[in-house]
Amino acid sequence: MSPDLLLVLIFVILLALGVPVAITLGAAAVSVLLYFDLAPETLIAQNFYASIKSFPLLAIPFFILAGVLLKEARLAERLVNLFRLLVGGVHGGLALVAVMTGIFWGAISGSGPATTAALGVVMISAMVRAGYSAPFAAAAIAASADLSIVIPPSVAFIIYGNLTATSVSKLFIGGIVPGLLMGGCMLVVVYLISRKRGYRGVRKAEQQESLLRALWQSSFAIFAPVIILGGIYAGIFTATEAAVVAVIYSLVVAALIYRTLSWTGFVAALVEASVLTAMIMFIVAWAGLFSWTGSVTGVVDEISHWLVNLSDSRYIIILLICALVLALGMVLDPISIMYLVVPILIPVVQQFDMNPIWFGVTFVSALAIGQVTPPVGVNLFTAAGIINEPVDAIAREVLPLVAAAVIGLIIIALWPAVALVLVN
Amino acid sequence: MDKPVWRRFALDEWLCALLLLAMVLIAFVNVLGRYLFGYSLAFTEELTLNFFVYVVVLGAGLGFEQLIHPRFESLFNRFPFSGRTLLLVLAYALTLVLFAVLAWATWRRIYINMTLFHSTSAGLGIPSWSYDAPVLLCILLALRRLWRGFRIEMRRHYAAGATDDNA
Repeated sequence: MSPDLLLVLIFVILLALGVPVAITLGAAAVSVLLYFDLAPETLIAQNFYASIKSFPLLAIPFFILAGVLLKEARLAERLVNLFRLLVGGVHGGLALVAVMTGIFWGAISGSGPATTAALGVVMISAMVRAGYSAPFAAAAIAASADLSIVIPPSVAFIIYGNLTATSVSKLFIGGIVPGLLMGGCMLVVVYLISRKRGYRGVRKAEQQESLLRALWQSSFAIFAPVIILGGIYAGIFTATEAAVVAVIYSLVVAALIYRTLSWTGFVAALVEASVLTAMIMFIVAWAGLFSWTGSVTGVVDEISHWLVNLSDSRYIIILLICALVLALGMVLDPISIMYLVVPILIPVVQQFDMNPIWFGVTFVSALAIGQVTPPVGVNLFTAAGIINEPVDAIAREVLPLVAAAVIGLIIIALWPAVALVLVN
Repeated sequence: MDKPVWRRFALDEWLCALLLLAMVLIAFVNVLGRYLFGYSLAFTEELTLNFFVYVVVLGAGLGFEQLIHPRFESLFNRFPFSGRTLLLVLAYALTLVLFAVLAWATWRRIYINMTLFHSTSAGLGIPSWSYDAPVLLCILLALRRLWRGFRIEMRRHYAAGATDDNA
């Protein structure tokens, strides 16, 4: 059996048997490299460490830590309160609040499951108390949390930029309009479903607080993305520098301004951020070795060549790539897909002379939707855990929201201006 | 009685927390240095990146105990109880083997650098094997968490199996 076939076979079989994705990637790569004697063992360690030791990737633990610290400062509750006063009164008010908070939290957190976890606990019980079904509430949170990797800061853009040597700062800026567009599509669908099912808005009597007060209380949450994006947009910070400034800002907000952070809470936040980072980076490290093995065996070149010859139209190619990423998103997490597919796609992007920022934004938008497509959607699992119901129950409710996001994706894929309007 | 802060976390948790904190502080001092005084301490980059490696290995271990590493479960759930037991053992055995390969490959790198290449790091000029050596300790601590994760998952698996049988 040829090395490339064995690499793919081991990966697919172990993945199907429920072995963790990181281990599947590592086991496939290591067995092929050692069995065919393609590289000395020291290169395995070298590749594993080199995949982690990249300065731009340092932004991942920093943005995750900033998100954890702001969660400790209970900023999610303050934002929910603000949006409840703004749109709570209309049909499906709380569902709209959930989606809007999800979109906004995307500008604070860079990871989908982290956003689902941060907002799920706050929003779902409030929605269930107001008469919404728990699976619908969880689906609204899980779907809007998707946008965490499209709206900057985004773990996916950091990894994509690192893999393809594209500017992470430009990808961040490019993600703003597409993220808001997909979020807008979701808001429309949530409103229509709520109207049909008769989910009523919050009564005025329940909204005693003044808008100004709520705005003041959530001002530190609103200011976080201003610092991160403003610094990058003005060219003051690189993405990694913006991430470390975000950590210091979050620490000051949680420990000194709101005083919600104890010493124990601080150490726990550092440990939580380490574990969440490691979950992502453990896949990155083994996926790096896997994609290096793929290039050594030649499988990457073969598939690239086949893709380039599939059609002459760049729009057909980009739509096919989106369909492929959506299909892979049903069984894999976004980071593994990125390492499996991006090395294959780089020659395609060059052949069709596609703008790398537009392509990156479109690709990551498709990846984002994959986080809630069943059977394997990382956000779905997190949301199911919060409401203690099977993933299938949420999966049914999430489908209309997925359809809304796909409409947004098609617009992003066919009109590059959507992603490039702020970049240019 | 509340335990003092230092006793509430285990060794690997403390290492993760302190290494991540050190990474943040080094990076922040460099940002300040660059904008206020126009220079940054370039040699600190290698410290930060090596700390990052330790955090990833230690954190991955903690993640195994918390059962958070993503995996595809649709087909797995269709297997009968005994099949699922076997697959769980396979998954953990493979993880153990992969950690062992990483430890062995790291050890070979350390050995070759100590005896043959005598290479030094670009920033601080210290022997490059001294950055690799702590990884072995991190792997050991991660394996301890992997074992605990295996026991937790097996307990849950058998508990769920017992409920299935009663139903």
